[in-house]
Amino acid sequence: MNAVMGKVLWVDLTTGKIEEEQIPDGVYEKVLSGLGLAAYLLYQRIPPGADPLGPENVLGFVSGLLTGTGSVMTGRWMAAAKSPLTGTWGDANCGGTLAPAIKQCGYDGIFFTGISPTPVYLHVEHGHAELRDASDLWGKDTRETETALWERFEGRPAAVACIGMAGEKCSLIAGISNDQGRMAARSGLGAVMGAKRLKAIALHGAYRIPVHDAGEVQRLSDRFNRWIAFQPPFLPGKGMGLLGTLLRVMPLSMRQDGLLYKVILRKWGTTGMNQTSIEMGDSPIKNWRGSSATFKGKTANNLDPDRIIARETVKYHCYSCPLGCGGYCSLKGGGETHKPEYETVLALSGLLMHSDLDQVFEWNERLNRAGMDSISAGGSIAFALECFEQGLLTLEDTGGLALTWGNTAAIDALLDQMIRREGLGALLADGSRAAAQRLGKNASEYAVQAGGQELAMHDGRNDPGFALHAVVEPTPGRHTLGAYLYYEMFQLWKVIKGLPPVRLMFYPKGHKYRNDAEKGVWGAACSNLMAAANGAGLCMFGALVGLNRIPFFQWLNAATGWDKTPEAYMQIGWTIQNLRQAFNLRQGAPLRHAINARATGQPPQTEGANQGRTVPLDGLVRAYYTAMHWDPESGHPDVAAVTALGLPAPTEK
Amino acid sequence: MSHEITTLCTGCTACVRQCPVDAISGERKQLHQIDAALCIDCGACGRICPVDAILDANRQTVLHIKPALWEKPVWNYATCTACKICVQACPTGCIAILEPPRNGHGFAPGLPYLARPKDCIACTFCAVDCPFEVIRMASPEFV
Repeated sequence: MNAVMGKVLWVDLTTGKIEEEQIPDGVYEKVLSGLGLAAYLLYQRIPPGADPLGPENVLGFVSGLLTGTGSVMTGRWMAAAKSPLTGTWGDANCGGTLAPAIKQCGYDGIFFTGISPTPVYLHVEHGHAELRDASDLWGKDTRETETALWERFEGRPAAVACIGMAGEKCSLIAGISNDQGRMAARSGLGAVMGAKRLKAIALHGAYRIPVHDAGEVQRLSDRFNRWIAFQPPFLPGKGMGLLGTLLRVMPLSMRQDGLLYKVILRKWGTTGMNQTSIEMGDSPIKNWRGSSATFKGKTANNLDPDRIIARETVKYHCYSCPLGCGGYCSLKGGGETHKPEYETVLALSGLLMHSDLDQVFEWNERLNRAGMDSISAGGSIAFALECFEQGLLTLEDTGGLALTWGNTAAIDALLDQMIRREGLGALLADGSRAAAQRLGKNASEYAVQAGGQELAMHDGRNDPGFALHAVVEPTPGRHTLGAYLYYEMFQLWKVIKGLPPVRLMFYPKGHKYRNDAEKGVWGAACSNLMAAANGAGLCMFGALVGLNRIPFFQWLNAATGWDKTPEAYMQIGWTIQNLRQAFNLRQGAPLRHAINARATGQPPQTEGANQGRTVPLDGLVRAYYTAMHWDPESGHPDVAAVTALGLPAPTEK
Repeated sequence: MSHEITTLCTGCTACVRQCPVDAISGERKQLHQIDAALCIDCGACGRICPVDAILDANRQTVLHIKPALWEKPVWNYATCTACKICVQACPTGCIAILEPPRNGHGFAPGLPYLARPKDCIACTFCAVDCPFEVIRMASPEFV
């Protein structure tokens, strides 16, 4: 079998037993590798009702099918397990260097079961894997851990994934770090790693990845690179705010083209959209209560992306990426940090009514080092600020911290407490839903989350697709699996037969809120594509350049030797979605996730970009389920798609 | 597929020391063996072998070349995209990213270079894997 290694590694942390499992070729043909393979294995191996932080949960690190084959923008790795944050299927996705390293060790995935009696890390040396003592690493932050491991290997570069203090303390919003602080942050998988007392994995492998037609894969990459290399001069940072204002006041919406976003990404990274998003109503402000009218002028201008790249000292590229949206930035007091992402900047600024950029840089580094999800951390702090305002938290509860909006010193202290899991931080370290449950009263009104996971910085009131995917995806509260915006940018209708095109360059804004069946088809297409993309290790930003430009399906055929149509790969994506949804069904987890009413415009906002807008969520969800061929009311997946893989049918609890 | 050692082997252990993945075993003056499960077909054993006792995956003899003459990668930085595929492809880890001095605006990415030329085994994996044909292998005097 080409493009994959054909086996996975199983590590039982309780007994220390390490063994290989061969994966039949037919499995890859049905679910690809990466997320599909993880879903295939975890569906069977995690018993129903398993405690996410217990020994029965399985934590997998998987690499995509296209990774290492000569394709580009296909170097993402994924962690997967039952999420302790949401109780559902959990996965998180990250770039860096771990994805090719997993395959170079000879595996498509490394899976952990059990709980180690003492802290350990897994070291895989070409052809040999062993668990080693990590007592001396326990307590170190993610960057210290990675550096300490490199020193242990006498400077030989190893690909490392590790947790920081947040994961060690089983904070349910902890993530897994790779390459000095790039995070697979979502779903709380750092807590699973911490509960298993697995501090890190360090990989040294040199296996070659077999490719069916390497020349063709490389030719396709070279041709695609012309789109990435095309970089005309673009607006200055200040112009991005004006662009957002224009998009807000125009009565028409503009169909977005991924090439424009690519230019922005290459120039600034994801932070290029800071002010545009605030102005057009994409960024939630003041715990989703504020708007572009609340956070504007000088305050918003502090987030000018030109100010961020003024700090950038060198660009950072993930493995196999010619685009390079990342970078290293200098910190004011010395040291450096990965360039903060748009999500981090907005979760730690607009959401908290705070705009000190220096502080955002510093918090970004602190969260990366602690191994905590910056989206959920920002969301949880915003929740605390509103609870303080509403009197649900008093000065006595906060230990004297005046948690007023934008209070830098108080937020700074609270963040520290969350990382150390002390004081009020202990309440917030498991996310806003858990905190609201413990606080009682009407606190849950202020916890803006879906299914337990804090919503990312994309407002469903501006693009209802974000609200839709936050509730229907098997991993709730995610922003990287679909949206109307993504459907426009993927331009899937140009390669997949039967998908409705978005023909008009400009269309009335009201169209987005019309609840026609077509929106369900858009959503299903995004989900299926991203499931396949996560099976192949494709970066979402690659897909956003447009499927008419990125040769995703051609790469898959050239790398494997298969002769499948794009429609067949979308069908594989659908199978993966079914597996993930069936996982939730088997675990007795919700199939449709509850979302905070505020995020869907109930009650509608009275000012700002999203004034008067309500997301017609119920109809949208029905349309999505119908397009997925799932039960339109319950979201019950197509069981036949699961049993066709030779897996047992999920039995409902 | 893997490389293989023929009975011409004199047991000099040169290949054992050269193999980047520790796939070769054997005592001094004994016939050495390559573990096919570990071999990555880099050919370093064949190039170092003084008696041409190594066959490649196609059962062709790999000829001895003096290490000083082994070809080394050269990058055409005008077309390099800084994608790091070469860095990851190197089985000895001798390619690193040379970052520009961190005193200005980071509009430039770090670019790959041969950080430890002595560790380069001339396997060509970096050149083979580069999708943009940025790397050519050149005689050491041109590097």
